[in-house]
Amino acid sequence: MRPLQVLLVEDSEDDALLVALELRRGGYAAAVTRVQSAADLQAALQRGPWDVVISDYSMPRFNGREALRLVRAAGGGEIPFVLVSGHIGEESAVEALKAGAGDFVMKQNLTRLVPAVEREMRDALIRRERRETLEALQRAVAARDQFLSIASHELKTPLTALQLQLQSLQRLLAGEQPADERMVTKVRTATRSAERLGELVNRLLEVSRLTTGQLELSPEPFDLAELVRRLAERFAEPLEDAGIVLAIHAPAPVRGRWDRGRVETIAASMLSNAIKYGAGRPVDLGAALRDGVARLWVRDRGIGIAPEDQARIFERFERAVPEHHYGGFGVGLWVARLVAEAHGGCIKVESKKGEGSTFTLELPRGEAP
Amino acid sequence: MRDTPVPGGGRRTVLVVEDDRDSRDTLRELLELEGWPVATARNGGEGLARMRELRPGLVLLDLLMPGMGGAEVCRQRAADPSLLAIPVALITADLDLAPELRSPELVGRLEKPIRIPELLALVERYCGAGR
Repeated sequence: MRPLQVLLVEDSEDDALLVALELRRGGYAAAVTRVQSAADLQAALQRGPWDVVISDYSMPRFNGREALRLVRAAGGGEIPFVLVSGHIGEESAVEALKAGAGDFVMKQNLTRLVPAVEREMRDALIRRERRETLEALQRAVAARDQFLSIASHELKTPLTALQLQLQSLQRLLAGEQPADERMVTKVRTATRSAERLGELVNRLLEVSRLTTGQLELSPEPFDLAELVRRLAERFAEPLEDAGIVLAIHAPAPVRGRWDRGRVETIAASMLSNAIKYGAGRPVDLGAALRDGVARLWVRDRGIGIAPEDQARIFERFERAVPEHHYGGFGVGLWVARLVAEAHGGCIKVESKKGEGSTFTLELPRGEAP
Repeated sequence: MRDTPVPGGGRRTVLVVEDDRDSRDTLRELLELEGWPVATARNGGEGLARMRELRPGLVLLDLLMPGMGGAEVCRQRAADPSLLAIPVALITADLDLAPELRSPELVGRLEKPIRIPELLALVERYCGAGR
């Protein structure tokens, strides 16, 4: 005989005996506790745990639906619950099942009770395992996000000291006569490497901030056309290395109020994508104002993006190509989308496989000066 | 309250409050190389004590430090008029600053990575002989 802790909601003592007998016949040493009111049921649920709650459907002072509500409130879907009824209409039965009763058994057909209880206990166990798995996953994701946040802050500290040392070294070398060209070149390369490392760490920080919902914009007035020109200067070397000719289209100022640092980061990641995926062909970079909306766009003529990948690339850790062919975290466009949205704007892509892509950042002008 | 001038061509002291040893030493070496008198503190508590004791021309204050961090230093300084007279600039890796740290009592914000010209301009403004 398997032990079974049963909480029985039942007004009739005779029916309670029948239920206990049926469980015993099914191989269970059932310890049955009987309650007849909402208050008693709640008190019993708090005492728990129960292997199963079996409830009569209609009682003079209480009913099965209300019992089910109390059981679900106490234990979610994880306390097995079976209705027993002498006379339950089809509608009431459907309603009870919809509300989450595992099963219902007619009193005239009590041989169904044990299989119904067993199945409901299995189902409740599955529901519990599913919840526990979900919670474990959520904890793992939270731990990852916390790790990301700590790691990026921890990396930043020694990097700041390193960058400051390299800048000091550059200043010292600049003061020396005659200049030691070999030293100057080496320090310049080291400085550039440290700067790249710094940009990677910054991207990690930004991802961690966006993940934990700590993004706070610092809008200030500036000119998007000027930013485009500055960006072109900043990317002169990587453009040259990739053999890409960049054409700038920013004839007029595009003024607005945005988070300058973040907009520059978005534009930089758009341009660096164009260089990465642009197959060495010419790239266009432009800024314009139309209908009160500022647009910054980058067009490449490279590998392009298949239609089915075009939404996916704006998600986190996604890219349309295998990662070992192209470097990066796969977060640039995700960050871009969230930051654009935080500004009340958006980022769009138009692309054909093999013919290149155009990315457009759209920003409302804000309280333009 | 008048602050006593510090010897060294009328140049006033820069107080660096930074928990990371490398960053602290790097800042000190760099500023000393440029001819500025430098004092250091390893956390917020030490920083406040040195501010009272030395009355520096400028405090470079790291935000994240174990024990008392930069935010708490700012709070305590805001409650003490004699400290409020000492200019403080934050060193921070964070673009997002808590609103109380955007208060006008701060004279500047050096974002990591710190750019030397920006740093020196700030120091010159608050510790220079003209002050």
